[in-house]
Amino acid sequence: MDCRQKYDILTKIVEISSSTSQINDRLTQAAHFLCVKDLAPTIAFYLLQRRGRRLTLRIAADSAGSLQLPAPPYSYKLPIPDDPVCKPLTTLLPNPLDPETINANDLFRKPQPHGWSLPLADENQAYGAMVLLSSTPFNIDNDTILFLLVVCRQITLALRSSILKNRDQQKVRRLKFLHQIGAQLNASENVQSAFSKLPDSALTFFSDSASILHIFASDQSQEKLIEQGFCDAEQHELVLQVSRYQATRTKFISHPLVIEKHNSPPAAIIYQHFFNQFCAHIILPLISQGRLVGAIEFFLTDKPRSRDLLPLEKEDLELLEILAVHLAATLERTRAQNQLSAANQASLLRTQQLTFSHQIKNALLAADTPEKIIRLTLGALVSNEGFTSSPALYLEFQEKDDSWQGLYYASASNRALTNPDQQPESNHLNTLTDHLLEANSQIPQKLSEELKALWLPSLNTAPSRFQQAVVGRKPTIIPAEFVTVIHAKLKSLLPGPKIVVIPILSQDHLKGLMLANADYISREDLAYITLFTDAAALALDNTKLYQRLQSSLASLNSAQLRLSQSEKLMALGEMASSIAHEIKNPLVSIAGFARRLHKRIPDQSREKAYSQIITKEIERLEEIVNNVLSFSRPESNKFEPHDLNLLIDETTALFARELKKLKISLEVQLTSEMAAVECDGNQLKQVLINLFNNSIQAMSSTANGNEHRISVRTSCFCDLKRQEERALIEIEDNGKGIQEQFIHDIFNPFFTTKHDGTGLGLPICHRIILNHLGDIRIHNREGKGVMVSISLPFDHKAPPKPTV
Amino acid sequence: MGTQKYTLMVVDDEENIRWLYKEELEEEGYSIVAAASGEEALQKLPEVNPDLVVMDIKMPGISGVDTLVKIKEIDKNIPVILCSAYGDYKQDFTTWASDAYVVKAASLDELKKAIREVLEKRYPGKGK
Repeated sequence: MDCRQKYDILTKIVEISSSTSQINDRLTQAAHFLCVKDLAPTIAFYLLQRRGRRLTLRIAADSAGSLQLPAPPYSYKLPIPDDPVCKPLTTLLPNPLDPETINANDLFRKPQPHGWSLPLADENQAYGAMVLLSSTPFNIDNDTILFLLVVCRQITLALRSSILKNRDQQKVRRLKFLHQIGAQLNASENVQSAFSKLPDSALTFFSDSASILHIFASDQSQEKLIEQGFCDAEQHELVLQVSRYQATRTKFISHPLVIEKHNSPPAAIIYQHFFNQFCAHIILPLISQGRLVGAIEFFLTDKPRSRDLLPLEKEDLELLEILAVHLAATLERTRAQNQLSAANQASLLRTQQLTFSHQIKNALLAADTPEKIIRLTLGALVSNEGFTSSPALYLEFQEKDDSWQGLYYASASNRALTNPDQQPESNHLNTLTDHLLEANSQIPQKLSEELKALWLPSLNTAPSRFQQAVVGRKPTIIPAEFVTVIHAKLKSLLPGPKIVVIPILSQDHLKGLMLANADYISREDLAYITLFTDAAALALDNTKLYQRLQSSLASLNSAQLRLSQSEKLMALGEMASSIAHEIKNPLVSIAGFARRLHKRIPDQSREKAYSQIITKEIERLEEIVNNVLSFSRPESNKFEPHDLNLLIDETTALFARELKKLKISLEVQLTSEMAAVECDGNQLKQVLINLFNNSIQAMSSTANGNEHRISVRTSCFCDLKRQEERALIEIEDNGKGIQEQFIHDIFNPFFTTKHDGTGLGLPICHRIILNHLGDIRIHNREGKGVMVSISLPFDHKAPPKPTV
Repeated sequence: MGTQKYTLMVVDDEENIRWLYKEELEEEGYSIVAAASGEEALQKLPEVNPDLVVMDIKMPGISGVDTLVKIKEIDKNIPVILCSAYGDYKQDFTTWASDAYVVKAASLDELKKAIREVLEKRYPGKGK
């Protein structure tokens, strides 16, 4: 090789070095050029692999065309020179082409190739080797070797500059990536979206190697595998296994951990499988406030996709650590944000609820009837601010027979049905009240029938859990089966699996029960419900108090009225009585002589008729006087056992003729089981006569075309209030009845609706019956008749002195 | 009935009443002696020696009740029927001594009935 040739080669190599930045292109060009210059039939370049300690065939050129190269990666082991001084590679090898070191059979079809190996290395680092190969032995003189070393040096330089450039580019990319990630993390609202950006960025970070990304955040048990392309099912499984294996051992790591084949735990069989397919497992712990909150794992595959792959360096790990800190901070921040917003929401909800309950309280206080209060509470319970979509119903305790009756039913959907347009949130009290009332005012027909059918004779047979809930007097959540077993209808009305039992109290007495589906009600909400029910109980007490106050005021008023009236009446009575006595004596004379006169006048004369009239009228006059007297100075009672039926028979006999004349039918039903009643027979008869008279007059003054009828019945019954057996007399007519406006006055003396009445008939009856410790009641059906019922005790013990 | 009539003394301050009683009771077959006051009755009592006294209570001078007591002091065997417009004396202890008490009424049937019963009780088997 002459100087000219050497010069040409060197110039070309330098030119190639500066022409392109791609290592592969340079090497290809160099190989081809050197080939052409007949240095050797075949020229190949081997480069050191990134992480391995292998030489890999990267480029080869063959002028003779005899070379068949295996596909990369093809590698052989190369001892790395400890000495950084540049040496021809041959000196490092036992033989320039030691068959033990490089299996020529792998390179060539022809066995026993011959060749020279020249190092591509500088003072710091070995990059690879240039190998001259031939199928036949060939010799190269020392000058040529020296020259080739210069060429190698030149190529090394180009290689190094190219690598450095790549590395710079990669660093810039990685920094850019970090910057991007940081910006994304800052911008993202939650962990999920922050992490969703990671895989793309990670691919950028590792530029070319296939990566699989695995993220888990420990506290949210959020484990997520984000795959990038290269992962088949087998790899997936492998990755997960490795991750799990490592997770148990790296619980407390604080720095990024890179596991490669050479530092993998030797005992872990899983890692041996792993490194058949992957080249690295990188774990980035996410640490926030000294606590491991998660981790990111990268799994790098061993298939370089680009020739420019550069090893992961310490700086890169530091960058990744910065990323990890970023991520951890984001994780923490979003978590804190989540907690804060959750707390905010909760407090907002509570505020809403409190406002609502305040409004309800106001509405309850404004409500004037217990019914309204119950319906308001029920409406509040199922409203949006209460507990949406849980239907609720109200069972009222019936004091008279200790039973329970379903009364109201409310559900939010029901309200939505009736009022689709109206906004549920209304701050106006009136509309709120109306609104809540509406929730249970228009329930579907079917439901309302089911509700009516919901009648429980008693809770004694209910499951003890339910009874405890009722007795506890506090809202209690119990499984539905303990409630629905009480009545079949409950199951269809409250279909949920849990039911809250809310006792409604009024003045410490259980007034009713609200039952609602409690599927969405937490224990905290129970306290909120208690707010409602307490307010309801208070409002109930208030209405009761208010009603009582009103009624006592009314009774006070009427008592005052009656008192003043009775004072007047007493004075009037006194006067009437003294007048009556004065009248009575002359009356006796007049009556006596009139009767005598009547007897003496011949029959069928005019005078006879006149005197008849006088006698009759005097009788009436006497009756009036007697009434006045017996009211103001009642006769003392003479109690003896009497047969009531007999008294009635005697009385009806007195009226037989008159009834017949007036065409009034008489219907008498006397019980045969009537025992003797201890009473004053005459007085009772007086009562009966009075009542008969009233009935007859009520009927004779109407001509309604119907048949007039008086019914008289006797019976025995057990008075539960007084706990005694009593006799009952009922006298019913179908006359005109009493006008409602007079009904309260009929027992007042001197009150009368008849033009010729004294107004003493019923008051005397009343007094007589009271003296018998009995009861007299008027059941009036205006325009249709009156039924008077008199109940009397059989035994009359120590009657109170009649008061004047 | 025997030939002997019962003699009744009617004591009342009102002349009309006395007359009415007299006429009515004479029709019943009694012989009647009338007195206008308690004093007159007591004065006539020994002379008339009536089989029965019918007496008003409210009278000027000695009241019927006082007269009743005095009559019973003289002869407790003479039956006395008190006859008054006041119903409330009926069970009054002041009238316990009387043999019957009749509330004055337009119809004298009750009085007549009481007279018959008292006489029958006082003179059993002797009456009409």
